[in-house]
Amino acid sequence: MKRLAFVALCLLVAFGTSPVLAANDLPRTGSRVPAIILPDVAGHPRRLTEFKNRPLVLFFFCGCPPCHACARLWADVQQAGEISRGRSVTGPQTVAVFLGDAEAARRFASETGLDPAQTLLLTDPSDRTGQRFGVIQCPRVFVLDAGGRLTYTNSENNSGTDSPRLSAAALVSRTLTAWRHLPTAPASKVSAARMVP
Amino acid sequence: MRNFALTFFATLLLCALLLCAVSGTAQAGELALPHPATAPIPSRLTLLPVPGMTIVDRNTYRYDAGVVDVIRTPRLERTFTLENDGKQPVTIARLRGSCGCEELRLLRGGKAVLSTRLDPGETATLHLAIHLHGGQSGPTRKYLWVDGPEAAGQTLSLALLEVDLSLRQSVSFTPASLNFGKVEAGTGAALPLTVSLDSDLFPDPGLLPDSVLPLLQSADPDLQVERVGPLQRVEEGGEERLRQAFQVLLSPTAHAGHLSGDLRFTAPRALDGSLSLLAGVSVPVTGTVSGALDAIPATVFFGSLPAGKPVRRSVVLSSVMLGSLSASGDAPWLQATLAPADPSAKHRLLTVTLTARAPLGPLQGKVTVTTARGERLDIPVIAELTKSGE
Repeated sequence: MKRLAFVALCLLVAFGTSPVLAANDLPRTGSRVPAIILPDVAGHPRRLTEFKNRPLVLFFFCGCPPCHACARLWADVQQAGEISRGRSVTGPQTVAVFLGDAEAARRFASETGLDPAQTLLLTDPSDRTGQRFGVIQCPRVFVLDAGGRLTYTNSENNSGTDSPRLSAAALVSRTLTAWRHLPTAPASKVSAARMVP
Repeated sequence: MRNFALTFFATLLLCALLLCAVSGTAQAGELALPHPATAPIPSRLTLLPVPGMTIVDRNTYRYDAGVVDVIRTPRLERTFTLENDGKQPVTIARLRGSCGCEELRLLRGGKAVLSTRLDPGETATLHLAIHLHGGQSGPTRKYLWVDGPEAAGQTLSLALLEVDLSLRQSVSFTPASLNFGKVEAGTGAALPLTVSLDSDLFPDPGLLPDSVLPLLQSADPDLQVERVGPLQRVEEGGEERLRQAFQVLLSPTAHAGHLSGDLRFTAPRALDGSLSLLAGVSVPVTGTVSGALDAIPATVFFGSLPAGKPVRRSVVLSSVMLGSLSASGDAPWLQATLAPADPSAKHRLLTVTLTARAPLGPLQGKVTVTTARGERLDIPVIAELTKSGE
């Protein structure tokens, strides 16, 4: 019996840190998302825990034309004040993970007009974080509530029903609708649940 | 204790072997296969070899498209053949790409099909097009999955094709995007833009007529582009390049509101006709034209809504001439209604309505508000209508 338990422990040690993801490891609607530690465009490591107790829209962009179209429309959403409407939280509430280097990420943000004051721009050239989120198609979006739980994503693989192939207008409309459905309680009154471990 | 340690290391070794097995041949620094929620099944669906293709493992193929120039090849197209070389029928339920830039088609007997069943020995054609416009320079990898029918909620992956390519930009813009910032209505503005091209695109620019020289075109009548000076041969980073300067002019009569458009690079075909330079290369243009007329919000986002019911959103207009405004939508599904003018008020309410007969799907339109003096303010409207209950 002891030996069996020990084998189980070994399996846990080996597979618990494995880079190979099982479908069940992917963030699903209602569940918390994996921790993120990625460099911003200045090279500083940034974490999702910075957004503790704040709702968040997390994008993964590769820089292709549909990613451009989506980011440009999201920039219009930011400019229209839709993100902060009815919310007392200040600072960025959009995290854009660019699947490329810092220079390409800066160019992408500049070309699409993403508001630097409302957007934290991260880079993931190796796509490893994207893989942990099940990002196999782009553009991808994850809307997270203040507790770090996934409320909307445009993927068939994360128990959402939408396809990343949605047009930019449809994807941004659905993302914004999910965002509007999140509680608008001030940050101080939001549950103190940690966003990610 | 010794048995304990032996068991520990033996089990770890077993786990490591298992991991190697499921990781396939992925090398250090290489992307692991993004296979979430995808169950591999034993199948005999194979991709027939073409030059540049290698087999990564049993169901995974890699195709090297080499260096691709976005000007010469704005759309990379390749065709592959899928063959059922097993003894059982195989059903291809769908094709999936990793990037929004991929366009995939499955063909049987020259006709496009959404899914198909391949009996032993039968083949189907897989047509892949990748739109490269806007892609970043350097190496990139796209994925293409051939999926079987779903089983127990999991997608069955019949084959995976990895497409490697290195993107080269033979045309670059300085700056990479144009931002006019905030421009007062009626004043106009101008920004310089330089286009740099590979010198081999135009072997002897001095001999070329004006019609062949590179041009930038705008779909927005409020934006005009003027060529400044001749096409010049210059040296950039040890390479000979061609450089053309432009001036981008924002018209003084431009509509007020948010500017969001593109200038398209539209150099025509070279004189010998051998090189198509008509590529989807563009420069994004942003900015805001602000005037006597202002709207909050500047863009109306309805979000995603069930169809069949009219939906309204309010926009607050501010202007020095609130009493003499008119407003109209540019689509039959879009109505704009101004509240009665109140001479003592500093603002006037505009109601934007998506009508009950608005079509399903994504919708993009605009409401134009016009003052008696002819000043116009565009308010973009974005929405998506879905079937009720979706």
